[in-house]
Amino acid sequence: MPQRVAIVGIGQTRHTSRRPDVNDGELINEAVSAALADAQLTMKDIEAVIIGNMEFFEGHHLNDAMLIDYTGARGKAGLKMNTGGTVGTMEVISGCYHVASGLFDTCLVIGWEKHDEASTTSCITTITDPAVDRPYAVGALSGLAIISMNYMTRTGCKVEHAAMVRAQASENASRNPNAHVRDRLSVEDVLKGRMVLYPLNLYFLCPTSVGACALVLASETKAKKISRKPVWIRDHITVHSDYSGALFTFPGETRETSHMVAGRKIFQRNHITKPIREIQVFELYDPCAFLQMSWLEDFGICDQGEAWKLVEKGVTAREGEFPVCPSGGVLCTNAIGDSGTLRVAEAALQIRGDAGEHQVTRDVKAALASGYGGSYWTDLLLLSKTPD
Amino acid sequence: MRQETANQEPIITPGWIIMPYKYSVGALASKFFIALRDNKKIMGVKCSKCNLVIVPPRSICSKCYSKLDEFVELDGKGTLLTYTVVHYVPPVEGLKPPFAYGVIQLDGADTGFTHILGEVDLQSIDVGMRVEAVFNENRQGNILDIKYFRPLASNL
Amino acid sequence: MQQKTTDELITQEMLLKIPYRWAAGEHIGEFLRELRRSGKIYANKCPKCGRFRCPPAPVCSRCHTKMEEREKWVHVGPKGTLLSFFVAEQSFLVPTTGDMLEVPFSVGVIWLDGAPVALWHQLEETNPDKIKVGMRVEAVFKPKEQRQANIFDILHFKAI
Repeated sequence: MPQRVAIVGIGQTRHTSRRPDVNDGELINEAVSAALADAQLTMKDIEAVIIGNMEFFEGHHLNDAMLIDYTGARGKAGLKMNTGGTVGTMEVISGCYHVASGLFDTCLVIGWEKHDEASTTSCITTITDPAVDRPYAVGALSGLAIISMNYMTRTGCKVEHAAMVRAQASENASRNPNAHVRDRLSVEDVLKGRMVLYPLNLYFLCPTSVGACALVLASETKAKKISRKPVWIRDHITVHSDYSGALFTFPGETRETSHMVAGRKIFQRNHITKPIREIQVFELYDPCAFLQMSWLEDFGICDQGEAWKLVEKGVTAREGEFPVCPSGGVLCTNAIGDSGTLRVAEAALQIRGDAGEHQVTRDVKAALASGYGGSYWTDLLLLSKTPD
Repeated sequence: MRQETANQEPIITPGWIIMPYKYSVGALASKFFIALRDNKKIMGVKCSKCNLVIVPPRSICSKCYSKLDEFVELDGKGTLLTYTVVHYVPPVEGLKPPFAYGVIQLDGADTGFTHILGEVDLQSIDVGMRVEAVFNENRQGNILDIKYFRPLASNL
Repeated sequence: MQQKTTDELITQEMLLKIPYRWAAGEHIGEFLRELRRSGKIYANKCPKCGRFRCPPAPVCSRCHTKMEEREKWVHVGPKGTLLSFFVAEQSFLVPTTGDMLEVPFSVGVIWLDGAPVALWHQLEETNPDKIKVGMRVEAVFKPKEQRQANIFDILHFKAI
C-alpha cells in the first residue's frame, strides 16, 4: 500500500527576463530557501532532492553536477530529470514515487530555467530528427503554430478567441507578483502584436523567462505532523504520444491525443463524472493561447470545439465557473524547467487559499495541473484539500 | 528489409550544433572575476560557520549549506594535488596538445582549483610541487585571466 | 550602512560548436535513397492495423507490430493536400548552420495522395494570405544529378 503524498512547502522566485545578479545555483537556492521556509523545515529534514531543467538550454550539459551546493543534495538521494516541457511536472510525479514508495518521508523538488543565457528556439530545434524534420522545425513554435492552425480549421475558433485567452491571462498575471509578463493587454492590443510565426503573433506565445520553483513533498504521517495546510496529491498520470501522431489526426481518423487518454483515465479512476463541476481550478500548461482551448477539450473539461465558447462566456476567467491558469499561466511566465512545477505550485496555493491577489473567487477543494512537452507526453496531476 | 538493404550505402546526415551562450556568474563570483581582471588577485570565500575557504567562490558552503559572503585574499601560490597530460586533440577548439592541467590547492584554501600548467617540462611534473599563478596581459574577467600556473623557483 | 548594489556583474559569453553525424538508419535511409534514385516518396503500412508511416518506420507505434515487409512499402504523392502550415516572419539562429533563418520561411504539413500520411516540408509560397488549409500542392524535386539522398532532394511543395 503506497503512502499518501502531500505538498507541505511551496517556494518560487520572481520571474523575469534576465537575472545577471545570480548564477544558476543562486537562482535555484532562492526557490529552495523559500520552499523550506514555507514548510518550516531545514535542509537537514530533506531526504531526497529531485532537480530538472531543459538540458543544454543554458549552453551547458549535466549542469546538476555544479548545482549540488545550492540544491542541498549533497549526501542525499534523488534524481536529475530532463524530459522537455514536462520536466517540471515529471519531477513532482517522481517526487511522489519517492515518497509513496515508503523509502522517503520528505522530498524536495526543484524546477528551474535561465532562458537569458542561450537561444531557446535554437535549442528546441535540436530535439527533432536531424535527417528529415530538423530543417523544417522552428523550435517549439512550429508545432504550436501547426496545432493552432489545425484547431481553428477543426473547430471554427477564430484568432479573436486566442486574443481573449491572452488578454485574460495578462489580467491574471497582473495580479501575480511572481509572474514575468504582467502588462494588462486588451483583446485589441493582443491582435496588434508583432507576427512571429503566422498565425501566431508574439502575444499568442509564451515568453522566455528566468525563474525557479521548489516544492517540499511529505508522506501522510510526516505531513500531518508538520503542516497546517497540506495539499494532497491525490492522483497523477503520464501518457506518451508517438512522435508522428503527436500533433496530428487525419480527417476521418479518430482523434486520440495523450491529453485525451490522461483526462479520461484520471477522471474515471477518481469517479469524476463532470470535471467542470467537480474541479474548481486548472493550472493548465499553456505555451500558446490556442492550445489552452484545444487542450481543455482534449482533457475532457468540455466537448471538442466548445472551449472557445467557454472563453467567450468568461467561464475560464479568474472569477468564472472554471478558472484556468489564474496565475497567468505559461502564457505570461515560462522558465521551461520550472513551468510544470509552477503549475502544481500555483494549483496548490489555490487550494490553500494563499494565492493572494490572484486567488480564485470560489472555494477550491480540487485542482488540476498539467504538463506537456517536446518529449511528446502528457502529465496530469489531481490535487485536493483532503486526503480522501 | 534488412536483407534487401544490407548492401546499400548507409545514409549519414552530417551537421553541427552551433550555439552562442552566456553565463552570468552572479553577484558574488563577479567580485572574484573583477579582482582577477583588475588587480591580478585570486579571492576565496570563507564560511564563517565551518571555516572552509572555497575558491573559485560559491555563495553556499558545500559542507554545511551556510550562505557565504566573506572574501579572503590568497597569494596565488599553491601545491599541485594531481594532474594529467593531454595528448588527445578534441574535435572542439581549445589548447594544442600536449599540455598539462592540474588541480591545485591554493595556500589558504580548502578546495582544489583546476587550471593549466605552463612553463613546465611535461616529464617532470610531480604531485606536491609548488606552483604560482601567471596572469594574462589582456584580462577580460574570465578564468583565463590566469594564463596558467608555473612551478615556483624553489622547486628547481 | 548598506552599500547600493550598482556593482558590476560579470556575464561571460561563449560559443558551443559541436559536429555530429546522424545515421538515418535502415528505413529512413531507404526513404532518402528512393528520393535520390527515383524522385519518389515512400511510406509503409502496418501489416496488422493498416496504419501508414511516412517516412517509413520499423515498428507501428500504435499496435507495436514490426513493419518489416517490403511489399507493404508504397509510393505516396507527389501531389497532396495541405493540412496545416506556418510562416516564420521572425528570424532565429539555426543551430545546424550558425546562421540566421532567412524569412519569410513557410512550412506545411502535407497529406500525400495515396495514403493517410503527412510530411512536413517547405512551401514555395510564403505569403500567408495565399496559403490555404485544404489547398492542393505538389512536390518539386531537384534534378536527378543534384540529388544527394537527403530531405532537400525535394526542393519544396508548390501550389497546383
